[in-house]
Amino acid sequence: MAITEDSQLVGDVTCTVTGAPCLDVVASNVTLDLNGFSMTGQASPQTGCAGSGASGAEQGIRILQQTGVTVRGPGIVQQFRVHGIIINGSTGTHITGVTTSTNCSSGILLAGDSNVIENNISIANGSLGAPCGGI
Amino acid sequence: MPAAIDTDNTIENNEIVGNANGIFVTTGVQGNTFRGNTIVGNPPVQVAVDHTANSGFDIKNLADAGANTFEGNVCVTSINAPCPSTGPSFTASPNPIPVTGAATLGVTTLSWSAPDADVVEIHVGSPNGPLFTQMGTRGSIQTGLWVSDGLTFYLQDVTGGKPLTSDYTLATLVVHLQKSGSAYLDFRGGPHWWGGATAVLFGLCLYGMRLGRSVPRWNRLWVVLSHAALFAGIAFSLSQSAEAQTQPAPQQTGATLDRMIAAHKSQQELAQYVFDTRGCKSCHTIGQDGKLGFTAKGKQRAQGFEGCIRMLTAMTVIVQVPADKRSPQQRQKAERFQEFGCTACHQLTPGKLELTEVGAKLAHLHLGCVDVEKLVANGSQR
Repeated sequence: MAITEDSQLVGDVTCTVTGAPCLDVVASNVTLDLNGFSMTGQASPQTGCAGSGASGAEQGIRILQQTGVTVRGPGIVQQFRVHGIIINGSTGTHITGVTTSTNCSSGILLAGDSNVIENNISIANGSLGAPCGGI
Repeated sequence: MPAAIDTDNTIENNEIVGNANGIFVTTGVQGNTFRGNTIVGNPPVQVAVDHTANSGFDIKNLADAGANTFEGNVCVTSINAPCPSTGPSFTASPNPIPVTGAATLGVTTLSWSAPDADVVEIHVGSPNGPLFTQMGTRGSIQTGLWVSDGLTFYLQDVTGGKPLTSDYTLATLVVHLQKSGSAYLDFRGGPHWWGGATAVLFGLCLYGMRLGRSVPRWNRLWVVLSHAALFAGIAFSLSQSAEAQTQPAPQQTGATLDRMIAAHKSQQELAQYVFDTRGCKSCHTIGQDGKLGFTAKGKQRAQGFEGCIRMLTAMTVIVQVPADKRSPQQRQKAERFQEFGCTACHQLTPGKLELTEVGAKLAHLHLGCVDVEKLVANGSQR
């Protein structure tokens, strides 16, 4: 789902899309407020990420080549078969108050300049096949 | 962080537990700050025991040592990054404090962390000296302009009413001043004071040479030359000083704006006052079509300027990095921020970018830079 303007979750979200981000922020200067809700992907909480066959861009939130995007918690991004949140080629991104948990690669993957990642919680992200990081 | 070009990012105050790696920084990444994060139990115990080949760490930094800043993080295992003990820390930034001229006092920001204490106080000069602040076990606070060279601060544990003695001193901190330049003649007016100073010294030099000469026919020429150089130097210096002094103090600007509002002056008149008195006209001319032009000085400074929005965005990040921890690129941006006059309305406080008193007033009046530009430029067409 593409996010093009300020948005907030109004309930828990379960994403069944494969090979694509659950929420794809495709505009600059947008705020996404998780509003206390969770986003859950397709990694199995029982088997972890073993044999998940994660591919491509199956991430919780993707911020690709944007400026000034804010993702604000509280809220949980969990069980995505790739990254929980990926910031790629973006600047001025601000991620705060978000819990990333049990995502198969990074909790938050950061690639870009002048971004701020603060006051977040990353728990049990990464796997033996993708030993990335909480951040 | 996967790419070598990733820079100027701040990763701060996150809690990172039980991941394959806590923070993973890949080869070549530089100029980023990792501060105040709690990173423990990475990888989880079960993984660490069952999969010893899975070399996970709380901080796995594959970039060059020193290329990124790691400070105040709590961690247990790391590659290429410090995992300090959780004991107290007490630092000042900047330290030493750069001062110029005859200044003997400076301003710095004290930061502390005392995880084993519930309440701490900072005292000046001795454990029971004047109280500077009483706050929680972690924080930072800026001093006023009263810090002298060699002044010692004492971080005292006062949990449960502990006495102010050295037994309960958690840490001490000595702050120094560092002269970054000196001038025997106080030629105000910014970086051009040397022009006047050089001319005056040249004049004095000629005077000295004249006094040492015994050839009468040169005498009159030396008098003319030395007087000319001396007066030119003094005049130049005074002109620079006058230029600097035409910019009123912030309080004066605020008071004048209040008077103008009370007198029902128009937005355009207010904008013109701001333009005339806040240094805008040293770089801008009143242009046309809602845009300002540039003076020669303005054209020179505008070369390579990234634009106000990008500069402000960058500063919101840079301000969170202590001055002595900034990368060369960050320091350059901070200097340009000051050079471009942004500090008239924006002030750098520890960890954030705020409006000055004048800035807040102008924002309230909808007289930001863009508004002033439009009002002044459009006003010129009437």
